[in-house]
Formats: sequence, structure tokens, C-alpha cells
Amino acid sequence: MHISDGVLNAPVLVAGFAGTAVLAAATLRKMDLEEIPKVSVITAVFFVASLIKFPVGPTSIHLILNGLVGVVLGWRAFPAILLGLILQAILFGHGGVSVIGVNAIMLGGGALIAYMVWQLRHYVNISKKEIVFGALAGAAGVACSGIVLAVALLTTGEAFLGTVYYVLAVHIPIIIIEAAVVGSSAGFLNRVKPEILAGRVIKSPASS
Amino acid sequence: MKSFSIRQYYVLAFLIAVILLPISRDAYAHKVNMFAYAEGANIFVEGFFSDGKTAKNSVVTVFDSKNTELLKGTTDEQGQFVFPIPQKTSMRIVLNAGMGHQTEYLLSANELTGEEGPNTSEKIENDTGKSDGSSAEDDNAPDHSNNPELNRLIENAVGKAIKPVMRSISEMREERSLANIVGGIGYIFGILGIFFYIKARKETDQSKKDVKGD
Repeated sequence: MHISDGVLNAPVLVAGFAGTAVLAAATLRKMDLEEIPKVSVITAVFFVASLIKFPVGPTSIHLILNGLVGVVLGWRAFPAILLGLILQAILFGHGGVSVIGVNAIMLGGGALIAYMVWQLRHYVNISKKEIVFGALAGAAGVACSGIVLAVALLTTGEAFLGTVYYVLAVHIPIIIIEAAVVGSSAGFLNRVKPEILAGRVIKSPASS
Repeated sequence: MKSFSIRQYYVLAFLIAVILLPISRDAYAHKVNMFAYAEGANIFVEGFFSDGKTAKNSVVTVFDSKNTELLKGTTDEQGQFVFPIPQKTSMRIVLNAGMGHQTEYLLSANELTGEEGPNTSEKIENDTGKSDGSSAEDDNAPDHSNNPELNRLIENAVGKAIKPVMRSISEMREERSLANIVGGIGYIFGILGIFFYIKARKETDQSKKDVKGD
């Protein structure tokens, strides 16, 4: 789920870089020293996860895990994904250097949405809500990225409208896979190392 | 937060990397690749994803050196598209596989062989002539170069033989090696390590100033 060089036109690329700069500056504010090792580990996980692929129809898609990055890192997910994408573009030609901005908004933005969905768990009182909201966050991360991808492709012309439906349809399996992976990861982390998960500040009053 | 030692994080990262790497070994990044070459009077284009799957129904657009569109077409089920050489010029062939996946291939004018290319065919003929030259039958070489039918057959045969080689070369160019993955993880820790270092220095400077202030 990376856009290649040469697909999008210049204004969209520039807007992507501008938006990325603003989001990176905003999400990097007041980063604590203790957060940095966690960010580097999760960045590495994100970097490697994109290298596993599943065939879907005429193409294949890889695990994105931006939902998991959002669930674990919170707002720091954006710079983590940005760094991962820069390295993927340089080392593997995933996407392209000129598209790093748009790709960062697509995947990093999805991670931020996933974090917001993850935070909603504080307002619900059900059992195993970490698994449920982890799964929802995983699904939301990919779904939002798919929407951004579709919008980005739309700017290149009406001819892409068919592609847009196709993009959304082809992401349904990966949304399910991501939901399962992120949900079980969040449940597992909550059981083993709950401190590692993001957004534990707002305590739900009724939760045990 | 302090219940975690940095070492624990690194052990975790190492374990995750070790678990994930074998799975990703033959299922690398998904990026569309292509190659194109002239085969007689035609140009042969093939698109494929980095996992080896062919890029079917991909839109192929051909531009000349001045960036004017020459022709447009779609790849078949094998991810292949063949078109006659529109004109003797350098070409930029763009293949769009949809979903934001696109790649391009530059085909320079001297790679085009076709009927109008006596220079290239002569060059090929000279090369083979030289290798045959050791058997001291140079007299035969000019006869061959005057035979257009034979030239065409040789071109076709060489084109067919070279196809898998071309393919593996462009695959090799895109190969994601284990070293690159490990290197990427190293870069992540390195870059964030530098960030950590700068931050830590700033914070110690700050605390020193605070001590002085008191």
C-alpha cells in the first residue's frame, strides 16, 4: 500500500510533504526520553511487517500494521511511520522518494485515526475491550489509509473512479487480517505488559 | 514507563525480526517492475510484481523523447504487451498497474533493431563474425549480413533466448536482500539513537542549569 513515483501530480505531492511536515512537528512535540526505545522498536516492526505479502486477486497486499503502531505509540505513531516509509523508499523502492509525504499521510494518518479509535475504549465497559478496540483500531487504520489512497488517486482524474472502488474492495481482506492481528496483539500486550500500550491516561471510572 | 529496560526492547525487536524474516524471505515488497526490449519490428513489454506475479490488465503508455504520447495499450493475462515500433526514437514506456503502482522503462533508440536498423544488425554480425573468425572463415560473414531473412531469424532467436535473462536481471535489480532488511532495522535504531543522544544531552544541560540556578 504505497503509491509509486510518477502517479500523482505535483500539487498533490507538495501538499503531501506540507501536511507531513505539520503532522510530524505536531506529533513530535514533548517526546520523553523513555519513549524513544519503544518508538524505535515499533518503527522496526512496521518496517519489517510491510515485507510480508498476501496474494489478493490480480495483485497482492502486505500487512500494514499502522493500526498497531497507533495503538502502541499514540501520537508518536506518525513520526515512526514516516521514518519507516523513508527507509522503505530508499532501501526497497517501496513507493518512491517524491511520494513519501503522501504515503506518510496515508499510513501515518491511518495510525492516528487508529489511536483515536483505540482511546474510545475508555468510554465503554465491556470485558476484553482491549482486544475489541485493538481490532477496531487495526481495521480503522487500514480503512482510513485506503480512503486516503482512493482520494489521492481520484486527484489524478476521473478515469481512476473504477480503481477507487477496487482499492476499497481489495482492502477488505487486509482490514480483516489487520483487525485480527492488532486485536490479538493488543489483548496480548495488555495481559503481559499493559504499560507498553498507548493512552492509558484516561481511566474509565467503572473499569476493574 | 520505567519498568522497561532498553535491553528488553531490543531483545523484543530482535525476536520479532527473527520470527518475521523467514516468512518474508520469498514474499517481499510489492512493487511493480517491468522490462521492455525490441524484438524485430515489435517492442515487447512485460510487467510483473516483485513477488513474480504478472501485472495483468495494466495500462502501458509509450512516450517519445519529447514526451509526446505515441500509443497506449493494456497488458494481457501474462502481463505482456507487444506493439510495433512506432518510430525510431528513444522511448519512455510507463506501466501503471493500478492502486498507485507504476513504473517506467527507458528504451534508447539504438536498442531498436527492426528493418531500418542496419547499424545494429551489422554490429551484431561483426561480433559473431569475430568469434567465428578464429575458425578462419571470415569470407562467410558478409554473406550473412546481406541476408535479411537470416538476420531476422537471428534477432528473433536471440530475443527469445534473452527473455528470461532480461527478466532475472530486472528482478535482481529489485531484489530485497536480507542485508537490506537488517540494515534498515539498524538505520531505525541508529537514527532514533542519535535523536535519543541529542535529547539526553539537552536534558542534562537543562538540569545543570537548574542546579546552577539554585
